[in-house]
Parts: sequence; structure tokens; C-alpha cells
Amino acid sequence: MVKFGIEFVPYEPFWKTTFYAIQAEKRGFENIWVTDHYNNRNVYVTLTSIALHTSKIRLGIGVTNPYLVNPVMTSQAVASLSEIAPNRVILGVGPGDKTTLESLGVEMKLPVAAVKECVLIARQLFEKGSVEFEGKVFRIPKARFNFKVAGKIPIYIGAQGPQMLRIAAKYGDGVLINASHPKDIQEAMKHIEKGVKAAGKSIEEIEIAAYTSLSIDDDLDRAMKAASRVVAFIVAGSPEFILERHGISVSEANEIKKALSEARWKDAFSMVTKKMIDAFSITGTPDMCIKRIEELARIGVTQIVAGSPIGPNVRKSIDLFSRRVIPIFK
Amino acid sequence: MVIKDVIREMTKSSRRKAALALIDVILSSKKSHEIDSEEAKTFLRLWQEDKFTTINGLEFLLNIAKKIEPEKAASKLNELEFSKLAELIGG
Repeated sequence: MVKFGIEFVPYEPFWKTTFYAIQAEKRGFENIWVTDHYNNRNVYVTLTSIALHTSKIRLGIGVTNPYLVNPVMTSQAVASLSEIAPNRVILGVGPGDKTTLESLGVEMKLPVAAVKECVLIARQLFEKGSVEFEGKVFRIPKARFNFKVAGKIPIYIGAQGPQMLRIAAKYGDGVLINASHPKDIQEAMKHIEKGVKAAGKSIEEIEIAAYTSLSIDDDLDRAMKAASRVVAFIVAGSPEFILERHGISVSEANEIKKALSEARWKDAFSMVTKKMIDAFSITGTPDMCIKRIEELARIGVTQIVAGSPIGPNVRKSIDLFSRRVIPIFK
Repeated sequence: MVIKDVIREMTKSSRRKAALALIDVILSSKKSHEIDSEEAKTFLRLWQEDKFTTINGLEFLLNIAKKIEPEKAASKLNELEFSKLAELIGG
């Protein structure tokens, strides 16, 4: 059985994101993941609105980083949200985006250690309400909540590179893999298996979520057109070895990157090829999406997170996905 | 004829069709910042409680669409042959 999550980027007013979240709950999605970027609406405020308008869907921070906010404060925000929606909140932590951090004058120092320490600090606070911690990145002489943490709060780790994947499997309750293609998931699984082995856990004990870009529509062209707007950014931001894995040339990616940096959106989106869409998203008609999800599930994915763009019309695409895709996996 | 009377005459499936069209107009609008916080909260409450097809629910959607996208909403309603509703919001 595969679980289904849906990602929202809160760049629109709170009521639009909350509307889609209510719809996702009504239609059978099990998880909502809201991204955390300083230039969009605040993740905790967005999730609070969603928590107040839903009753069972799980609410994930998808994902925050340990650099912009001290892990103790992140834990406080997450624990406060858990008071509104006990046993429904999941903390997602990843290293963050290097370019974004640099633009704020923040150095991404020791990312693997920083994420691991953030997880250990948060877990102690969630379980005991207090923490004393001495690590490579963080030092917390003594911190203690004046309130009891409601519910259990699992911690998932957003990971892409080998080391982070191993840490995620070892210390996390779940791994969020930013990938949509079986080749990338297969590669990630090798490191996840090493991580769970090191922790003496079994692979079944952790959630393995493919945090995908998804675009679904009955009309393939419309689905692809919507996908190209997101895939352009993924291609532009992908490391060379990932591009090579999918047979995409660095020069093609650089052309797209250049067009995006010059705000030539139409040019950038028109340079996105079918191969790029196939590599970096789950795109197509319901049957095509089912086929891809079946492949990912066979490799070991236990949750599919339907990320942006979801489709040319988000409301209709959520309905279509829920009606035609989710029931196949239940 | 007032909005409520027109809605009262509609079947449930027609109301649903009109409501979905209006929701799409509202969600895709670039003028969504014109919806104030209280209206936004009402919008969410109606959706949460599945009340967009009630008389009050559909009237609310029509008023919001009229406020932010009167032309688009009227054109969509005309396209779906809800001419009386379209007329009431100025189409």
C-alpha cells in the first residue's frame, strides 16, 4: 500500500492553500507538506490555518533547515502546532538551499552534522520537553519547554546526496527524497539501506517518500506544459552527475539556467524536453502516472508526495488524481 | 429577481456546476488580494462544510466572483447557460 501526500508552496494567500488542503483531505490524501522558504508565506502560519480547517490529514513541514532558525525555536513552533493537531504533525528537516542561504548571508556549514544535530535536539524536546546538547554545529546548554508536547511528532529528513541519505535513514522516521525517476530512487535506496543497517533498524520501520514534481491531466499536452514550468527550474538546479544519469547535457541545462536568470520564462520553458520531464517529474494522464508510481513502489517508495505543479488546474488535478490514481494503490 | 430566488429555482446538480465554475474563477484570479480576511474565512468554512451548493453558499460565491472577476465569472456562467446568474453579476 502506498500513501499519498501533497506539497503546497505557500506563495498564494493563505485561503487558497487552505482550500486545496481541505480538498486533499476530502479526497483521500494522507499527508500535506508545506514548503519553508523565507520569501513565501510562513510555513507554521500556513499549517495552523490548515490544521484548523482539517481533522485527520497529517501536516508536514516540508522541509525546514537548521540554519535560519535555531532548532529549539523550530521545535517550539512544531510542538505548538502539534497542540492544535496532536499526532498529525511531522517535522521535515533538510540542509536547505545553498543559493537561498547565501543570499541571506548564511553559510551552509557542515550540512550533514547540522541536520543530524537538529533532529537529535528536536527529538529530545518532543520526547522529554528539555534538551542539553553539545555538537559540532549546535550547543544548547539547557533548554526546557514550559508546556507539555501533545502527541507524537515523527521527524523526516529531506536528503539527496549519499551521506545525507544515510543519516536520514539512520536518524529519521522517514526520508524525503527529492526525486521522481526510478533511476534516482534506486540510487538513493542503496544509501538508505546502509543507513538503516547502521542503525540496526529494518527498512520497513521508516517511511520512504518520493517528493516528486507531479502534473496530471487527461490531456497529455496540457500536463506536460504545466510540468515544463517546474521542470525548467529542477534542470537548472541539478548537479552534473544527475543530469548525466538521465542523458541530459550540461549545455542544455545551462541554456535553461541562463534564460531563467534573465527572466526569459517562455524561452526557458520551451527548452524543456520530454526527456527532462520524464527524468524530473511524474507527468501525464492518470494511466501514465499509475505506471510510474507502480515502478517507484516496487523499488521501495512508501509515500508519493505530489509536488508542484500538480496539474494545469490544481483543483481539477487533485480531483483527477484522487479519483483515478489513489484507489489503485489502496 | 434577486440572486437567492434564481438559486432557489436551480437543481442541486446545476448549483454544483455553477459553484465549481465560480470556484475556478476565484482560485485563478490575480485579484485574490481583494478578498478580505473575513471573506476568506467564510469561503473556507463553506468549503469545509460542503455548503457551496446551498443558497447562501452559492450566493456567497457569486458575490465574491462579482467583486474580483465580474467579467470572467459572467462569461463562464453564460458559457454554461446560467444566463440569469450571469445577468445578476453584470454579464
